[in-house]
Amino acid sequence: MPMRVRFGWLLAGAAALLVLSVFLGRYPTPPFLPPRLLESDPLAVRLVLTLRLPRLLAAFLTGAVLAVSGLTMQMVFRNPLVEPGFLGVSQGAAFGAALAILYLSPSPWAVQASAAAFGFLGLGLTYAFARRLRYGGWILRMVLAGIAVSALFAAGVGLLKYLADPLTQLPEIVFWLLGGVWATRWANFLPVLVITLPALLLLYLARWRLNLLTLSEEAAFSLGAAPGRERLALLVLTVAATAAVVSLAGMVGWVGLMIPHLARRWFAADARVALPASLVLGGVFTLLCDDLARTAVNGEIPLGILTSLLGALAFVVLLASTPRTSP
Amino acid sequence: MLKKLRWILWVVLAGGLVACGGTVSRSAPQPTSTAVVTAAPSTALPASPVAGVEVTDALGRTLHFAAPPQRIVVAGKASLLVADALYAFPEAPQRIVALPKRLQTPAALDFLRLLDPALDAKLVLASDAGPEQIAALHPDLVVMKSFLAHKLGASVEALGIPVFYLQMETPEQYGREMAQLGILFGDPARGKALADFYDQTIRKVQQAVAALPAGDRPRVLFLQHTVKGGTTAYKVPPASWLQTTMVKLAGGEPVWAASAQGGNWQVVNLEQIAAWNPDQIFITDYFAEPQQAVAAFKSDPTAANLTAVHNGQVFPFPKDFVSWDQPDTRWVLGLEWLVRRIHPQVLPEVDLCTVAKTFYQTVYGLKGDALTSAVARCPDD
Amino acid sequence: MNTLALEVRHLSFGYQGGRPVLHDVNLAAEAGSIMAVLGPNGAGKSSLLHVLLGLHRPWKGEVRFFGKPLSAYDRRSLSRTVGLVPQREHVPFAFRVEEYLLLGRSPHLGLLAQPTASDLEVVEAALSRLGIAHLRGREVASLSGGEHQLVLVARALVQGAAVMLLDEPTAHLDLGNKHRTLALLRSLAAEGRAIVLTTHDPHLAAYLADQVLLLRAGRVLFGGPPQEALTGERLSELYGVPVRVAQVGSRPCVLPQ
Repeated sequence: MPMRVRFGWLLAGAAALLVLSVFLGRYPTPPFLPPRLLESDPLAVRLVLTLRLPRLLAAFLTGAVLAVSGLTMQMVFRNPLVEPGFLGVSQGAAFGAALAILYLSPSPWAVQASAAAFGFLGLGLTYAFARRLRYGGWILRMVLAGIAVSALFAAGVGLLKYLADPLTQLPEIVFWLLGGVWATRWANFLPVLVITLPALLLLYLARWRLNLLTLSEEAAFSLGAAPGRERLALLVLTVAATAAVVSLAGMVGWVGLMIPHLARRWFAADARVALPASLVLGGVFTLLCDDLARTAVNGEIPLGILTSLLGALAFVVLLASTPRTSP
Repeated sequence: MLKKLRWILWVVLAGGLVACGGTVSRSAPQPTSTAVVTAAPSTALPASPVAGVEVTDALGRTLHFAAPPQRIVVAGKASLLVADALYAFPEAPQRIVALPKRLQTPAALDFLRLLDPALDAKLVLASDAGPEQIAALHPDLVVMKSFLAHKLGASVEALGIPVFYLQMETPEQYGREMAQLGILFGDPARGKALADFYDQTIRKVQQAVAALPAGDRPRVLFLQHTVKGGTTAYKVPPASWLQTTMVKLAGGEPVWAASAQGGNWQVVNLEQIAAWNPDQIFITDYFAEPQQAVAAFKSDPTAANLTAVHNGQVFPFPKDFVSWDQPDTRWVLGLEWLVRRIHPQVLPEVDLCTVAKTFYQTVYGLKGDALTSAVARCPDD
Repeated sequence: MNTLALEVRHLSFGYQGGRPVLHDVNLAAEAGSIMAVLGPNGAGKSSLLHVLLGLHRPWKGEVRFFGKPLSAYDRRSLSRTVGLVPQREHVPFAFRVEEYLLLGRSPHLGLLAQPTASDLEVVEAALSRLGIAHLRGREVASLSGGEHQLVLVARALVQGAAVMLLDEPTAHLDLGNKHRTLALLRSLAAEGRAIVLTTHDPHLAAYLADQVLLLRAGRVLFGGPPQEALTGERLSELYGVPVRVAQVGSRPCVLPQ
């Protein structure tokens, strides 16, 4: 099936899922809200407009951003085994967000800014450590450094948990570790949009350039790139966007790792196709998980748990099937 | 084989989305009128017992209702303490329609069943329930603790459902919020009576203690005994919590207050306790019997050198359905008991069960068999 | 007046804080010619290429392309003038050959631009010129050594560079592929390009080059036509072991003593 047609199906599927998700939930009874209720029940209308709609868009956006960030990082670092969660970005952002909640102010801007700052710090530390390690190839070094930095920030979050009031602040912080979009309203969603939409647009425009940046330093340079600067610029965009969604949705893992692999498998490794495919696939996957999270049980399954469960499973299946020469 | 696995995954996913409905009871009654009351602009109606209810919650916000809410949902974490306060009003069993499933300990539920025989049908909400689950119950008011305002409260209010926040963690808050609850239930007289009950008890203790010479403040240590994974730990509460306040009100000097600046229970070891060497030690245990905790503490060889152990001044903190040191309606019982332990001569000695009886009669209006059952759990002294 | 495609004068270079890797190197290459830089391992051949590429700044001396100093070129015009064919390239992703070759069009596209149909045509032309049109849809990582080398050369073609720098282009090739590559380079030079390649194999230099530069420990021992450069004494000095040059037909044959 030619690429365009395939992508068309993907978009159609995504649109259908978005519409369907509006009607999924636990009101009035799980799993389905009958559409005619929208005419008769004002509470249903209010529920859909003020809670469900921003929530689904937030879930879709979170998945899209994490997938695109994962793809960008994989190509910038020439390493198919990285994602924001592995490189200390998500944990750094979570730490920054928790710190803001405890000691600064809970306003969404402050939390986002703190999350972004520590997200950058996390990435910078990982890169610096990876440069210094003397063990193994580049891919291994980055993963090891990323594990170390993530552990550092996880310990930091643990410390914050210990210091936090168990009733008032601790549940907030635990939320970061498990992820969830159930508290999304327009008021805290729109500031995230302001950061993520331009970032996604720029990354989309740079999608062909990403291919170039997977080449070696000399080759990219010989073809007219400023590899260091361009990689850094793209990373800045991804970290800003990732930190923004982490501050909204907490830590949602495995999307950034698994979705790009899936996109490359189903479409092409060429980022001109893989990037938009990752964007939509990531959104669809996360939206599905969120639909499950709010509908399946009488409570809220944290989103991060579902994405990790399904994402890790899917990743194992992906890697184990059809031997390929490269991802 | 793996391709099949992938298909199974997708099918499971799709199935999960659709097949969840059956188990949840469809018995949530549809309200006769969706009394979705929003905070209307104030028309300066005087608060009367029947119509035009105006209340102020723990966050200082004012809520207006045309009539006292009839479908109250209690939601969010730490909701036991909220439920216990609400059920102090006789209107509560008719008006409260749903509670979270897991209140802290089963014993607490036993007590609420005395007041509300239909309780078990109301335990429907998961403790982390989101706004949709709450909305599905069609409440006209949701009550929760004030620390949830930022997330859960805001989401529920976005649906146009009013939220009333309670804090009830300090003595002042108790009196004030009880009075407001009275107005909320359309029974302001009762609310005031309850507030007065608390205020009077506190004042009585304060005056008794104030009469003592200034230096007469025994050094007191309050510990929570916990066992986790086989390891025993003793923890002290933060300086800002009710337990510390109670010790001060009762005329003791809380030795741990200077070092417990965090927001959570803090583990202390026996060396630290020895360094403090308090005159009296009170041990509470939320999940087991405090008497056993006291016995375990005294039997520890390191503890044998403590002054308090030497003088037999290590006491289990009383509890019946709920430990009497928690920010629950019963904390005032804990205060009455505590002041008589720290300063035995300032107030007439009373039997704990008598105190409990008075409490349940006054605060919960219990009589007859219900009263007997409630008092049956009162701790030995 | 034939402006030299590449001219290097008194070039000295070293990495940060280290000893000099290149010392007072002079060379000149005309358009349409092939220059072979011959030397043992560690002589500084790759470093020379990287400096010529503009990747590192020399400590002393000057590099000029078509009369214009390297520093006067901006990145885009430089990449349209000089192209690199690396020895081998590890591609961590499953790019296909045509996507891979399309990257060669980067110097002609802006930062956020996308390739157009005309760029695809250039790629097609290169594929057929090198006779590898059948590899169009193959994954780069699945190519054999020889095919990969051809693809790398094709990318430099797509780039449209007038000066091509090749880093040990036949090091991993078997005899057949080696000769095919060499024939290709000959024809590319004949079309007017200046080709500079590094190698440690004197036979390759003998076969292909119009000019040979002998580089040892960063210094130029000799620069000139192959007949003069590839003598017994010079090669012995270059490699530090005694070698003998014999003639087989019209070709020199280098043998250790």
